[in-house]
Amino acid sequence: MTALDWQAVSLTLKLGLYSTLILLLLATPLAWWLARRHSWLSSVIQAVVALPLVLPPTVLGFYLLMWLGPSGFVGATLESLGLDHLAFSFEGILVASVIYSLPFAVQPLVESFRQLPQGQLEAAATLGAGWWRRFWTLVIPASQGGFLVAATLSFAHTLGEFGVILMLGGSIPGETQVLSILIYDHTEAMNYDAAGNLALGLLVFSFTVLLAVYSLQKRTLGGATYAKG
Amino acid sequence: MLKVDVSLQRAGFQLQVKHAFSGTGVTAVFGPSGSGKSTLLRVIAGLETQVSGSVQWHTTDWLQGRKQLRAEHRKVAMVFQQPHLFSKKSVMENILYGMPKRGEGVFIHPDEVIKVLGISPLLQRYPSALSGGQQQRVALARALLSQPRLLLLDEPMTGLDYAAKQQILADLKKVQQRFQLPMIFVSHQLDEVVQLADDVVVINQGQVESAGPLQQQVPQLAGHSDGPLSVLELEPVEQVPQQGLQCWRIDGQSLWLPQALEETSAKQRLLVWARDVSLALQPLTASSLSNQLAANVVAVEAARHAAEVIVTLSLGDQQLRALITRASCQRLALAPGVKVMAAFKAAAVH
Repeated sequence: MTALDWQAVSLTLKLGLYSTLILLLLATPLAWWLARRHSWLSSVIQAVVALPLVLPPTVLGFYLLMWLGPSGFVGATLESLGLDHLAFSFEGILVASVIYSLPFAVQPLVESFRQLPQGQLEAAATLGAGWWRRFWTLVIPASQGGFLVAATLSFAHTLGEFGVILMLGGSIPGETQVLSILIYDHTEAMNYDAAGNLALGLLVFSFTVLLAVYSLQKRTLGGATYAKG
Repeated sequence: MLKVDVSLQRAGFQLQVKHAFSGTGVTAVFGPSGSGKSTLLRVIAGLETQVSGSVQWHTTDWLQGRKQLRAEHRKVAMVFQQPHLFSKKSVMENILYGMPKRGEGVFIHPDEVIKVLGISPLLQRYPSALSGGQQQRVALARALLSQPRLLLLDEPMTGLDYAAKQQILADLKKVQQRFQLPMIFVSHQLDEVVQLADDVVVINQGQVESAGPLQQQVPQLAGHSDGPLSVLELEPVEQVPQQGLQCWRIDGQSLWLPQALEETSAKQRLLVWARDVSLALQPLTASSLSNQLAANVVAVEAARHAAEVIVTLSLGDQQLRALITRASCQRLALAPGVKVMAAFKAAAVH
């Protein structure tokens, strides 16, 4: 492993961590709203959220490059404010990865929120607990499983991101050159040993994370996560 | 005083209720299932969002038009058909959930509630390890400790076996005596209503059919149950129980009834079905019916079946109804003013 490899490892972990945190903050209210509303607007929002599941990453990457780049609406606005545009930057691929992994954070949470023990929440309200208290003391514990799955899938999916980053971020070491991109670069340069090491590392790591989460979920929560209290 | 004037529309159902609850003692909301009793209770609790009209507690508006005071600000605790205990919290955590944090306005204390409801052995357990009756007692404790100004009970004895149900009924009586908390409770079980209620509101098809003090509402209650009945108020007597029977007094006469599950020194109400009362001109001697009361015939009216009549008797200022055949009535020449012996089975006591 070279210094370049290690740089890619730390950049990938950083991207995964930041994306997951932002996604949880963003997806929680969105999923809450989606779980409760059944209107044409919620159907539209749900379809938009699910788009990254079906679109080729290049399509998403293309639009993001157009919007976040120097001549795009977002990029130009940022530049007029004296900031940098987002193409070929870490901030840019962070935005992309949040959008790209959004369905993986939203879906498990919507599922969890739909299974909430409504009776317990109503009882809590009559006991004087306001919305925030009900959320912290009852919703979060009852949705642990959903949050765990949402966080894991968001993180793991971000590790596996390739097309969108290639389109929007290119391959700048320390900025946008994440593991998946570096493996591609190594392979193109016929540097198969280096590519193989990283590929194997990513494979083992991803599998371990998923295995740990699913077995943890089964052991501590059992079927209780989705059972009504 | 709780003034309610609300309407709520659902597919195939409309609730249209206007009633002023006294806001003291126990009011039973009685009616057949599907009549809107539970919905009315949820409206009072603030759990129904699609309601319009007005709900006013003393001088505070809880509902004005469509503007609601949120459930958590009403200080109204509710016990539901299902206990709805917080499944991931211990019994202790459950019952303290609604306690005011700074101890302000605490008039019902945990120690007292734990003692009155006998739940101290359960405190460290989790809800899933409790029986249905125990869960409901914990739910009651939890509701009481939130220091409510009004307690709502939505058929809290549903699905419990006989013993558990009697236990909860006894608990509710004790709670009422001890904490003087106004209660509104919904039920379609006549025995529950008779044991607990001071006032009765009869609801049918989403509307108030009649309302008033329990004794006044007895004919309406009978209309929604298995025929005519009476509710007798019994005075306790200082006497040691004999052979499992406890002595009570009514109109200066004695009644021996099976001992209650829980000793109460307070008044007891007795539900007597008219069909379980038999009449005689002389005291019965060789009979298994041991409870006999001397009474005067007040009225003889037609019953639902042409072959039967309802004979109303006076016991001091109380009334006892008997359902007998028209033939027997003629044979005994029963008419207002006639003195009779009324006998009924002690086992028919609820």
